[in-house]
Amino acid sequence: MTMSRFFATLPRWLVLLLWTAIVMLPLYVLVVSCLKTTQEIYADPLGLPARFTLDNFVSAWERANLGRNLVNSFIVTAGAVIITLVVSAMAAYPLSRFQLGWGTSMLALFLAGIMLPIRLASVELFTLMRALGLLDSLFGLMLVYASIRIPFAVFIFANFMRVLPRELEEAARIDGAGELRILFSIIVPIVAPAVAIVAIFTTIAVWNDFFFPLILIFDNDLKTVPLAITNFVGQFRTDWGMVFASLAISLAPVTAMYLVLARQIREGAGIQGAVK
Amino acid sequence: MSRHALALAFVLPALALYGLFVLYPLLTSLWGSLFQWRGLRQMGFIGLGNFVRLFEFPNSDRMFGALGHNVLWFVGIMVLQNGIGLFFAYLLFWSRKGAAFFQSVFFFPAMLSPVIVGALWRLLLAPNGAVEWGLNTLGLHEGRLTVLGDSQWALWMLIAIDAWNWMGLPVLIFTAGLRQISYEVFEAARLDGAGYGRMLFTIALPLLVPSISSVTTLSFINTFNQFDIVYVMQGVQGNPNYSTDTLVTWFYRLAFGAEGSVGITDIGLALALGTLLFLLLSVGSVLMLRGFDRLSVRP
Amino acid sequence: MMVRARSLVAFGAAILVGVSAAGAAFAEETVTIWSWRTEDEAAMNRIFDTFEAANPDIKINLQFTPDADYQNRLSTALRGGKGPDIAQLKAYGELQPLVEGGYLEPLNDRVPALAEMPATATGGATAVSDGKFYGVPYSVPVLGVFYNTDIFAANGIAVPKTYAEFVAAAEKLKAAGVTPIASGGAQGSAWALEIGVGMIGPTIYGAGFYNEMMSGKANFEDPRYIATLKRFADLKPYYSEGFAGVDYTTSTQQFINGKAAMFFGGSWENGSFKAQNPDLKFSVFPFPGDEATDKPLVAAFSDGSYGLVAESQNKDAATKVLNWMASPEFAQRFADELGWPAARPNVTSNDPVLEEMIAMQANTTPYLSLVGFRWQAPTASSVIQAEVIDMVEGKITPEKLASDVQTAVDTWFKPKP
Repeated sequence: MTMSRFFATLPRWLVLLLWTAIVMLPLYVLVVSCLKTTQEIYADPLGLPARFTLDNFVSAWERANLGRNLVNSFIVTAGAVIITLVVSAMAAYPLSRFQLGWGTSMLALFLAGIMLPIRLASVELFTLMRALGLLDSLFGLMLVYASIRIPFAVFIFANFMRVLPRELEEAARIDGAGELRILFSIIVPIVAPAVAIVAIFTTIAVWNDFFFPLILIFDNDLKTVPLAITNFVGQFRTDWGMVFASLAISLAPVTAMYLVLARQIREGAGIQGAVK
Repeated sequence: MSRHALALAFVLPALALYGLFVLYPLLTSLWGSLFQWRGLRQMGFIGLGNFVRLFEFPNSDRMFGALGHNVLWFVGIMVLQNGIGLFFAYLLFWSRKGAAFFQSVFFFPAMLSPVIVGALWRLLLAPNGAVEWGLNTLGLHEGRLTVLGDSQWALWMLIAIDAWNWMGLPVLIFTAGLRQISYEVFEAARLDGAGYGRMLFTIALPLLVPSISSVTTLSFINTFNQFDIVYVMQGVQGNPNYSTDTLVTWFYRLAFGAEGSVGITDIGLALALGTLLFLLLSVGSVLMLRGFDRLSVRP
Repeated sequence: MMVRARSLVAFGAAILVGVSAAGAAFAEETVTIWSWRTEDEAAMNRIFDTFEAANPDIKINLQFTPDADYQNRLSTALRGGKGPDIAQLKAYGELQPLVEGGYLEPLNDRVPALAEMPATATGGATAVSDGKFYGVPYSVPVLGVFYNTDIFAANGIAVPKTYAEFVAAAEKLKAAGVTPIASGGAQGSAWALEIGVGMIGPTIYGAGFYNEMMSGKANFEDPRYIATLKRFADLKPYYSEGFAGVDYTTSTQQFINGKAAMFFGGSWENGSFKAQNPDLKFSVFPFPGDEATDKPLVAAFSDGSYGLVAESQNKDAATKVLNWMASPEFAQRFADELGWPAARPNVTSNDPVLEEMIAMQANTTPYLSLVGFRWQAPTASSVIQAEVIDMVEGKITPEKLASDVQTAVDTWFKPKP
């Protein structure tokens, strides 16, 4: 059977549906398990719950302190996204649109950051954060994340800004507008897709990260969701219903965001590979 | 205010943050790897002493073990995630209907934190868990499922879970790449009687080189930074018997003192390992991008 | 030079991002205590309620972190000057890095009562560097076999006096459809399996072996140690189903829920088993050797201690707390609430399980891999924990594990003849 026959005769959607099932089944197990008692989960992991109950959610919410962790994650993510957007747009603007002798090498310095294994500098980062008094601080975590995401953001912004026509800011300059105003009221609105890509992918990366809170946060009240979930799973791992419920609670915000922004996320991810 | 001063003022906030929290720790780490450390104190300059220790017993076992696992992980991801991802992307390219829906579904797991993915699969793969139940019901397996506790299987399970987690990324990047190829090229080939298979190898692949290049480089960087899934699923020692140990989990144990739950750190060794990995990643990425650049077809 | 460059960078950065490096201010009388005993949270709170009632000027804030993350969290926090006032500390070798790092206060003058405690208890809290005490020990646990008395009675099984009887009992339980021994060390909890090896050891290698090891007369490749490993692996048919995939938490639940008849563990399990299932009928017996004896030799060690963090802002209040923790009153409360032997020998007990363990303390030898070989990396424990599952599963031989342990400790261990 040749490749060609295979493609022509095989119902393509069957293969695609198979992977869809592989993606969806674990998530289905997650959802139904939240509604079952632990005994039920052991007896029949895939079946529907005998009776609909939200007990697991209640006990997970109460015992895991998740409300607090969600707020922490939200603060850190929002802060990191805003800082990243503002400073990266500001840096990308002159680097991509002014004729500077040093623009290219500065851009290269930023781009190198996409490849740098920052995790391996965590010992020195820890020492630095300690010297700055930023251990155990959401603000400190925010700055670290913004710094790590800046290279990617500058890269995306510069790529989008480079292709805009020069006349855009020329006219405004003649009217006497300052550069900051030109950037934020003329250029940024035009590169809105870039803003969306940076915002979305920074959100995903920061919201899901586990490594930096692990080394920089000790206070239980300052833990972010992934860190809290890890501890919780380790501690209560035999109460499956409750652990699944805590996972479901931590998945909910990201899932909601995905349902709303799926198209932008798809295009953004595609662009990451295409922009070269 | 001159143009240069203005430009510098605009670049400065980003540069300051990036310089302080990324470049400075990295450079001091590289520098610190040349010193002896006692506990947390930096002592005298010892040149390459820490690097020599990396290659001596017992560290060499950990070093080559972890490095081997990272290499396997990379190979596994290239085949399982990126190979199959390319296949899916090609299928989606030909089925215009529903492509968006499938792309969204495939990419969804990438929204989830690796920590949560790890915890979820740990529950599913536990003895008496859902996967065991499914396999036993289908008659594919008997008794208790212990893949995660099996030193021959555990690493491959983790790689497969990682592929499940990130399958959507190559699919999206390759689909975007395929869409850039003009449809007429395929139409013309079709009229010449080329089948789907031949079109994939003669038309799509050569033109997809830039996409393949970025997917490979991204996978390379990500697999060599692998930590979260191992930490959550197998503990920081890469159990069982170090069979899932990676360079970053070992680095973490050295740096933060988690070897066998003992708070003994070896910062000198950790920084030397970090430096080596830094070199490996930067040199590797640059070579990769260059190599693919040569392969690129200039339209 | 380095330092100056660093502080300059830090200073510049502080101006740049407008950081005020103000540490968190605590109320003067709150003493924060960290512990890894998440299982004992309720009991520990009750114990310290007694202290708070007697000392209204001091408030105790107990914080618990799961054992798997505790050492990491503590050493990282101490490095960052973010530690508690009082920290629960591991014993013997695991204590030393914290002493050497200067994170702990010596307690000889602050807590005079330490001098009256038995050496078995304080040995685990003594620094090698200066011989001083750096913690108030709380318990000398013994390792033994917890067993479900109801299941034993229902199957007509008496407490086994020899290894042969032990195997016969396990065989009988298995035939009756009960998991004979709940056991598991997956996903980083292999310390629980190391406990099993440490528990079996004394019945094979005897009382003199620890000193032979320390003086270099014997090493891990000794036939007696290999026989110990082999015996632990031989019991595999009686361990939990899917042994390689079962972790510590899951195995404790099997015992607590009455699904398994026995559990290899240390004294600390007594309190947490009772707390999680008050109706569970269980007791403990020493693991039997080949010959029946009245008092089988059991492994014991000092589990850990509570130390004073050098950077604590409330040293006086914390010292007051530590003095109370060294008192006979605390020892009694500890034994009553948690049901494991305290660090002081003369506690009275009305708990039969605890009485059994106190009786077991009459004939002990140090828990070898922890007391003797957890001093430097690679520790004997790290090798045992890494390879033990593979050994039980038959992937590697006991001889191979023993020689790997020996090769690892040879890199640092200096016998003292």
